[in-house]
Amino acid sequence: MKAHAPTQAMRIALLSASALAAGLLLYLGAAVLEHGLGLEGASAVCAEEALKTCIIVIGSILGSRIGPRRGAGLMAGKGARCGLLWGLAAIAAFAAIENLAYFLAFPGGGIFLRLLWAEPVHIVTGLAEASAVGMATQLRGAAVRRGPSARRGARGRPAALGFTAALLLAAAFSWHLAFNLAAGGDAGIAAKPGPMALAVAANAVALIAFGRLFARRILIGGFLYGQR
Amino acid sequence: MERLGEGILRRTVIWLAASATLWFLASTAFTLFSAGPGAPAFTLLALLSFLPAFIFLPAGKGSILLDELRTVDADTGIEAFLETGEGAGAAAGLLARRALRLDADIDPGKGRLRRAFCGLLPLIGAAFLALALFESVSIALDRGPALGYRPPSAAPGSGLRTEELETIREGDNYDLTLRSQDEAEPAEAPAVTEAPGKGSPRSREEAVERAIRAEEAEGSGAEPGELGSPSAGSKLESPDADDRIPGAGPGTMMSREGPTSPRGGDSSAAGGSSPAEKGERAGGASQGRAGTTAAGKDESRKDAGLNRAGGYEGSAGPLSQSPLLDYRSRLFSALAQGGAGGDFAIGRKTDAAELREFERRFFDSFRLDSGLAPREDAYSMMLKRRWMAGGGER
Repeated sequence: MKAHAPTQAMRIALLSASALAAGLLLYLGAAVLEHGLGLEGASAVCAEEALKTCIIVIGSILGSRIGPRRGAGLMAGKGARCGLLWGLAAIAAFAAIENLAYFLAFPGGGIFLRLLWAEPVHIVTGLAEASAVGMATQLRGAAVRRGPSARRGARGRPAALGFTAALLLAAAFSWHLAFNLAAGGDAGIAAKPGPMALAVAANAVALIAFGRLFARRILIGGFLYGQR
Repeated sequence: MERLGEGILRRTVIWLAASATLWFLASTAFTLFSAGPGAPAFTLLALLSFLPAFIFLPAGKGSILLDELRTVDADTGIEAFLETGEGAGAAAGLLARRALRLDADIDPGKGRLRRAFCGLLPLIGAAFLALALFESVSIALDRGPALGYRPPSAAPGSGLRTEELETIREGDNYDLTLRSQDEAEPAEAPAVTEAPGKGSPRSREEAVERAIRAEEAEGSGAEPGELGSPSAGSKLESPDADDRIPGAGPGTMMSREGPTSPRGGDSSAAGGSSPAEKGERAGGASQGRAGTTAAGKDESRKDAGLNRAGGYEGSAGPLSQSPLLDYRSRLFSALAQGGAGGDFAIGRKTDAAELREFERRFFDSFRLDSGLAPREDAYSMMLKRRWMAGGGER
C-alpha cells in the first residue's frame, strides 16, 4: 500500500517546527559551549559560526529527506537546496531567539536597535555559510554524477569552488567578529547614531551581496542560470 | 531572479498580514488582562525577529521556476535534457531551440503583483478583523483607539519617576542609585512625623522621658543591670536604638526603613538592594539579574530597570563588557537562580558571600557600639541624665 504524502499544510508545519527547534538547539548549544568552555572574543565567534555551519550542513544532508521534491529526477539537487534554506531558516530562528533572550535579560526599548545591529549579522554570515556549503554540495554532486574522469577533467573548477567556499567561511567569521568587537569595545560605538547607521548600511550591502550570490549560485545555479 | 524577488515579496506580504493579525489579537488579550509593559514589547520583538526565518523557510508549494518551466514544457523534454546534461545527443540542438523559443515567451513581469497577492485575501481580511476586534475592545474599555496595547505604566502619572526614566535612558546607573536614595528620604518623612517615638523632636522628648523614668525606676529599686547591661547599653548607643524603643512598633520600623536605606533589612535576603551591590551591578552593566531571589523580587525588578540602558549594543550607554559573548551565561545563571535558589555569583570577580562580607564590614564601621561596665558609676549616670535632660541625642 502506497504511503500518503504529507499535505502541504503538514509539510509547512513540519518544516517550521523543525527549523524553530533547530534554532533553539543551536542557541542552547552555543550557550553551553561558550559558558562551559568560557569562550570569549574570537573563540566564541568561531564556535558560534561553526555551529551555524553544522546546522546548514545537516540541513543540506537531510534535504533529500525533508525536501518537497525528493527523488524527483531533475530536482535531485533541489532537496539539498531546500535543506540549505531550511538551515538558513534555523539560523534566522536562532538569531530571533537570541534577541528574545536578550530582551528577557535586559528589558528595554534599546533591544530594537540591537535587532538592527545583530540580527542582520547572523543573516549575512548564514548566507555566506550556506553559499559555501552549497558550493561544497555542488562539488560533491558533480563528482558523483560525472565520475572520476569528469572530476579530473574539471580540476580547475573544483579548486576554485573550494577556495571560494573557504573564503566565504572566513568572511562570515570575520564579519561576525568585527561587529562583536565594535559592539563590545570600551568606546561603545554601537550606541552612537553614526556607527549604528554605518553598521545598518554595511549589513544591508552585505545582505544584498551575499543574498544575490546565494540566489544565483546556489538556489538557481545549475538549473536555468547554471554553467550551460 | 525576478521570480525569486516575487517570492520574497509574497512572503513579506504574508508575514505582514500574519504579524498584524497576531499583533492585534495579542493587543486585545493584553488589554483584557492588563498585561505588563514588557508583554507588547516582547510580542513586537518576536514578530520582527522572526521575519528573516519566515522568509527563508522553504515552505513554498515548490520551485517557482520549475512550475513555470513545466507549464511551458508539458512533456518535460527540456527538463530531461537539462538533467542528462552532456548526454542529450542528437536531441540537444532541437531541445535547445525549443527552450530558446519558450524562454522568449515567458514574461516574468506579467501579473507579478497579482501573483504576489493571489490567495492572500483571507489572511489580509483576518488582519483587518483582528484590528476591528482590538479597536472595539479598546474603545469599550475607555482606552480610545490605538494601534497597539498601551500598558498603564507607560501612561502619564503612572508612578514612574521622570528622573528614573531619564536616567534609564541615559544609562547612568550610579546616578540613579544615588538619586533613589535621595528620593527615599522625603518619601519617608510623612511616615516619621506620623509615627510618634521616632526621629522627630517630639519623639526624642518622649524617648528621653522614658529613659529618665527608667533610670528613676532603677534608682527606686529596680534591677540596675537592666539599663547598665552590655546589651542594653549597646541598644541605647547603637544606631538602631530608636527602632528598638518599646512602643515604636514594627510598622514604624518599616516606615523608617525605606527600600533604599542602607539598613533596609538583610541585603542578602532582599535580593541585593544595598548600594554596594547596586554599585557592583552597575559596574558590571548587566549583573543585576544575578541577584534575583524570591524575597527581593520587587527590588530586583527595579534593579533590572537600572540596567536597562546599558550592557549591549544599541543602548544609550557605553558598554563596559561584551554582552554579545557572555549574556547567555548570565541569563541562564539568573534563570537557574530564580528556580533553585542557593548561592549565586554577583559578578565575575566578586561572589555573593564575599560581597556580603564587604557589606557587613562596611556598615559595621558605622556602628557606635562600646562596651559598658555592668554597673555604671554615679558620675556616669548623672552625666547621662543631664545629657538626656538637655535634649541631647543618643
